[in-house]
Amino acid sequence: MKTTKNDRRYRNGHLPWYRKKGVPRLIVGCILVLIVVLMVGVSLFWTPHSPVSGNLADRLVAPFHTGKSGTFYLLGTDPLGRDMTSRIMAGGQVSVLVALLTVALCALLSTFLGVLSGYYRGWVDSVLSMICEINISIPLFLIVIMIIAIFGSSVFVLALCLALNEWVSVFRQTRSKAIVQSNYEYVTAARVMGANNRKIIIHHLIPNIVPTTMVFSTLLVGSTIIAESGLAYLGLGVSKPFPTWGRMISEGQAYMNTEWWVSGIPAICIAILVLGVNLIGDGLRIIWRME
Amino acid sequence: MSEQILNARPLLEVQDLKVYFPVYNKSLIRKKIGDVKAVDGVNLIITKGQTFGLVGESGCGKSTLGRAILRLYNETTGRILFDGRDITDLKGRELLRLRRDMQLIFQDPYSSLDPRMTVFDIISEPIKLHEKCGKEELRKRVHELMDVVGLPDSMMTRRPSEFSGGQRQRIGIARAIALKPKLVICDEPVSALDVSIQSQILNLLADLKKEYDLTYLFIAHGLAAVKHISDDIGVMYLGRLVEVSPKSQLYRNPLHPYSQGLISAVPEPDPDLKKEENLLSGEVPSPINPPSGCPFHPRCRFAASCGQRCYTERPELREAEPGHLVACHLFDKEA
Amino acid sequence: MESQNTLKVLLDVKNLTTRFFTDDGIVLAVDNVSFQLMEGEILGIVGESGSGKSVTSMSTMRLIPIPPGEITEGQVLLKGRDVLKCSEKEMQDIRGNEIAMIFQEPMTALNPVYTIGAQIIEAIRQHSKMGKAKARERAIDLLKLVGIPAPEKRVDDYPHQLSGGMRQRVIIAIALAGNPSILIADEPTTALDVTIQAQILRLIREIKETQNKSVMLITHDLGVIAQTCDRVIVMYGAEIVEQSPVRPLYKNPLHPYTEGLLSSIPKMDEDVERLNVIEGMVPNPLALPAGCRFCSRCKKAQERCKAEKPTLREAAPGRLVACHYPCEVQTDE
Repeated sequence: MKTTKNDRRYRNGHLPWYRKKGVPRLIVGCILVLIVVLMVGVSLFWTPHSPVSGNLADRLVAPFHTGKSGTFYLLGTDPLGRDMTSRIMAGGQVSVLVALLTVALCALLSTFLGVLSGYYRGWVDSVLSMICEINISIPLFLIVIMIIAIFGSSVFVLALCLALNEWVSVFRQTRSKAIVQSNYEYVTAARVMGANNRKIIIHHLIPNIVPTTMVFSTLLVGSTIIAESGLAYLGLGVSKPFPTWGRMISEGQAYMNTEWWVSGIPAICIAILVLGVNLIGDGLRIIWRME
Repeated sequence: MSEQILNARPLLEVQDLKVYFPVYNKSLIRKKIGDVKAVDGVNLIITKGQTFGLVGESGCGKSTLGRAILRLYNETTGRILFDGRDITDLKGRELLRLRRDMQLIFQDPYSSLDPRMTVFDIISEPIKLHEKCGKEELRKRVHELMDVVGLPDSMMTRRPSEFSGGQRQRIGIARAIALKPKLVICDEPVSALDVSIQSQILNLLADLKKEYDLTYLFIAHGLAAVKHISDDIGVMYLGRLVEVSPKSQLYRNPLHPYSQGLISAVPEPDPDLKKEENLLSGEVPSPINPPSGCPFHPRCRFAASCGQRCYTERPELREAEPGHLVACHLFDKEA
Repeated sequence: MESQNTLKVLLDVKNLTTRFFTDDGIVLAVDNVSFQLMEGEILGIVGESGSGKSVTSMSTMRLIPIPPGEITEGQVLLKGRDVLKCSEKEMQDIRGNEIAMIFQEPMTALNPVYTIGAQIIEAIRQHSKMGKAKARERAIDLLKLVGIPAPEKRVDDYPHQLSGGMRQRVIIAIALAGNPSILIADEPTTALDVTIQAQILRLIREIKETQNKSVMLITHDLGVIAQTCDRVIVMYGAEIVEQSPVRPLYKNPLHPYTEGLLSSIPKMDEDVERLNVIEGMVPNPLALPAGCRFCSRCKKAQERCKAEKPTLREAAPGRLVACHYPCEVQTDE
């Protein structure tokens, strides 16, 4: 009964993770996200110029050009003469933080509720599913706008609102996964051994559902950043003058035809982050063999 | 055999056990429209140290019966006595204590093991649930169990996906015997395995029975495997036991027409043994609306000649010969 | 059975080799398999999971998924014509008209949104220009042939209204619709209960007799083979290890694998304390051993078995075995 390494792989039906097809995506995704996170992280301690105040003499300097004051601007300046590089770096703080918080909230909420719904079924499931239906059928974005209008727009309120808007899509996945897993006999086996519901959920169901949550949550990062940008564009983001990518796009729209970089560069940043996170999610999905 | 049954202490006694699963309509307001009578009045006694085989076709309720004995369903009525104690309504801590003494071996070696746990986690799970046990001791005990079921030690930290079906079944068996239970319910433990692996597992189960002094309820549709491992065999049809008998008698002289049909349908691995005169016609009716009277009468070749009773009156399980019980009106006269 | 040599060869498979190119490596699923299917016989192919029995049958119908599969070598001569060289269009003609397939899963092999009649009629009209009314008549005849009671009514039923055994009968009726000369039944009774299995096997035998079909029956159950087939092929590790008429195979198995398998299954008519076992497990198709593929589990294995692969050779008339040290041939007539 000797098992060679080859044999193990066959029984396994899997390759070691680094040989799977999803790996290139995962690596590229990680690199992109890392670039963005590093950039934003550095901005907490240092930016080349101030992100909030600028030199009016150097208004709308193009990227890779020197302004009238003799300062070199890597990514140019905006209509108020503020350094785009610094604003991009600092603006990412809000965008990335909101995105991560939102996704974390979504993941927690949908894992927990999904497992409850899928394991207990019955009225718990009916009520939660009903809430989902309601959530989808009314335009939540309007309510979000209302909440922000009332409570102001701190990062947390923003994240909470966006999470409320988006958790349903992850919840549906975790719920169906929980239903499938609950019907597997290892759950029965745990019951026969004497495990109570709490132990079954914590030891068996949640570990088996986490991959699903992770993959579908990462896919949410993109839409969250875009939604945050949308809100910021509408003037509902985190209060001025601190920049966010979304508001930078909105501020730059008047200059779109002549000075593209004012809204173009934040848009590229959003695209890079969304692409990176989606590649990670996609890579994980392939590596974990989920469809 | 029958004397042995009389003398030995029953480990498990099931009295008039019924498991009815309600069926609801599919409209918005749920309304009960009937019951699936999965187990419909079963009486059963298993003595200590015995292997009781339970055979029947899919949907006859044999698995449900096994799981109802393990108290996995709320929809159960009747009485289950285990080791002289009524366990039908046990709850909480009492039920937890019962779990030590009764275990289950599953049919599907794939879905019955948590894919994210290592072999060590899986086998140690029941021990951790019931005992406070130091890390070193736990490791020692898992090591012993793996040894007993024939798994190499080096595999302790691997996950189930790295094993073949037979090895997975060994892991499931190690988990089931980890707490040295009194009764093990084997729910089709070899049906999902390859032919050459089946005999390995059957031998392992026989060895474990001796070593750990186990009592088995062995549920299967493969008659030859049941016959090999069991002492007594019960034949189930539509949620009811139709015949209970020592194995040698059942195979040599099946009394119930259903048992006769079932046994003659088994394809023997011997081209010279062609026995087809009792081939059953038709298929198992729905357990939501079982036929009136004897549930087997639509497929029974004696029903027409037997008179009205088969259509109206449900036959009880009675002793037709010493130790040989059958539920059929054909044998009422002798009783 | 003695007259088999004079029978017509319907299907002649020569050196068939099928590989699957997967992420994990190249799986040799069928390795240099040669056999013949005679007219009017039931040929059983028996083996465990991964032995290549299903892929062999699928390959003869060119039904393996490409990619990852590929038939890399060999010929499949159907009445002298190489199936592997046919175009996809010619294949469509062959499937159903010449060879038809009966699948394992009676639940999923039928389309739930059409009546069984519609599905049989579709199969009939695929291969002949029959009018609708005439095809319906033929469908009812086919249902009658496969033993469905009241076929005039049943023809308008949907699959979910039928039980598993009835569905399997409908699938057989669909397979017969194009009047093929060869039926391939891939584990046709595995999903069914024993009493239903007995009915279906009897039906297959009847069809063979009355319709003069050749049947290739793939199963893992040696009992099914014994009760149904005329000739058997035993497969192990993607190869044929033994080929023999049914009776001598069970009385006097030649390959140690066949012998071990037969002695390890519990039998109804005898009581034994312990079963004989074949230790170990089937070899990994990604890394098949160089020598005999059974040698790590074989009680008779010698040094030679590890190094040199045995070839299939004739041990007795009509009996082939691939083993360096086969069991002795008994001739007790």
